[in-house]
Amino acid sequence: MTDFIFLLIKAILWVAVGVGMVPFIIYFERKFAGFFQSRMGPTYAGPWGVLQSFGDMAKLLSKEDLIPDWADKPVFRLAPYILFVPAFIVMALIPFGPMGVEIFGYTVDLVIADFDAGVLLFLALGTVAVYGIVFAGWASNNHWSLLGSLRSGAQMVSYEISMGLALVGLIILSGSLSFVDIVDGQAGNFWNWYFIPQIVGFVIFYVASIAELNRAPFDLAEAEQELVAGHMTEYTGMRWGLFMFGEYVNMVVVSAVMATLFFGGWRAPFEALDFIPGFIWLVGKVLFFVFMYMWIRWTLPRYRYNQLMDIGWKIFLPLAIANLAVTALIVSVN
Amino acid sequence: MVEKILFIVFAAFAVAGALGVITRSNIVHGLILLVFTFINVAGIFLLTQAHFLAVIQVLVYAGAILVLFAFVVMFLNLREFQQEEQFHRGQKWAVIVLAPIMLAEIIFVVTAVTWASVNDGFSPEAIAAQGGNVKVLGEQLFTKMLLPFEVASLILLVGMVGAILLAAKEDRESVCLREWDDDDGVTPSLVEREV
Repeated sequence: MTDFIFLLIKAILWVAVGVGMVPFIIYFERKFAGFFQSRMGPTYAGPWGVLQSFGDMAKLLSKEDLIPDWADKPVFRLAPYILFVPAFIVMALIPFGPMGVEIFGYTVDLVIADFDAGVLLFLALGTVAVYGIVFAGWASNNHWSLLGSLRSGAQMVSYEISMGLALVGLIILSGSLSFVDIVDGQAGNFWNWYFIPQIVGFVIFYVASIAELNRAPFDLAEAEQELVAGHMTEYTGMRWGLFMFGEYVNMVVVSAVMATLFFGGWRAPFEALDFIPGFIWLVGKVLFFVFMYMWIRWTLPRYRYNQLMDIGWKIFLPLAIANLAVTALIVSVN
Repeated sequence: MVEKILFIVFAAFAVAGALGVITRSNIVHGLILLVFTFINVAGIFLLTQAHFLAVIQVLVYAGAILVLFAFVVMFLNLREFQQEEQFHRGQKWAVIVLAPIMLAEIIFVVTAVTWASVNDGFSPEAIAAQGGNVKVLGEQLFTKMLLPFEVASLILLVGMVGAILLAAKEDRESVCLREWDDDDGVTPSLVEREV
């Protein structure tokens, strides 16, 4: 029974942190966008505009919920949820502290589920999340939406391959598919983290994750100059808000996965800093990667569609395979 | 107890989803229900401690294969499609013959084959003791099952090559491809190209 209560507490804690971060990440995204473009960003709601996201949320909730007459209504309603439910499942796999910690006399593992095929499950749920955008575009029954969803479907399917292959090198190094084992394999100081031997894999994974998240410079699905807003064109009010919410939750989760796989997860960069709880290190690393996403988004222009496909198939796929071959060779020689 | 309830829930959802797939006239709704069915089947695999199989079920079937289905289906004109009653009229009679045979086969397998005769010493506990699902399955695949494994990969390769060949067959001679003129990077121009 106590196990179940602890499980519930961990789940609520993780979801609360993941969701609670979103309004602030949106606020910072807008502030940074302003900073990168020499303007102020939001300033009116609250001190320095920190309450902007909450104001937006109130606005979206109070708006009329329009569903076009020509839309496929059940699918139209379902689509936004498909986008962020898989993200929450991935959260359950990410360890945020050591196993078997003593808390108030109870022994607790600081992970919700130590799943022995965790990395694969993360990739599998990524493929399921594609349906959110694909079905949203189809159900809207609108040219731009359908084009956007086709683009995003093709893009995500293409980049998933490089993403998966980029992780295989890391899996060979760690010898496990479980997130907990992978973090344990990176114990010690920061030079034991996997991003050093797997720098190629990390770069491929990072860029592919931008494509998976549909963010600039790979945001061709919503390319506002050509497709209005792609799959989101017909969505209004809080349904549109759910898409935005899903994008940011996915960003947090992919950042957490990246921190866990390549940057030691909850581990401190130096063993001497272990007195700071692992949870804080993990959140710090997540925020760093989220900031990197923003930096890239507001710095680089959008790629053309054929360039995007070229990068995915002609550069990243061979590079990922080469990385896999070299890693396998070195590991088998050692 | 909890596992039994979960099994009933997953099984009921999977059957309901599968029924939905064959009764919906809207093909995209059928597709969504098929994804739902596959995910529930993965849930049943999870309950039998076959973690790897469950994840592969989602990754390959619910993910990769059905996304390609979704692509094809979205290009179809649904209104035209829904008016057609049935494509192959003989199908009904084939079903009447084949379905009972299938049912008889399933009943035979379920009654004749016992758990002890197929598990070959692999219980969930034994697998966990040997280092988990992925490891045990991988060792089996690359030692005992190596030949079937390689044959399966060869068949998949042949299928891939065949698909590319079929797609490229029609206009082998010369194809007009719309390519981006890389000199100015803006104007698309028609480029003749040998394929």
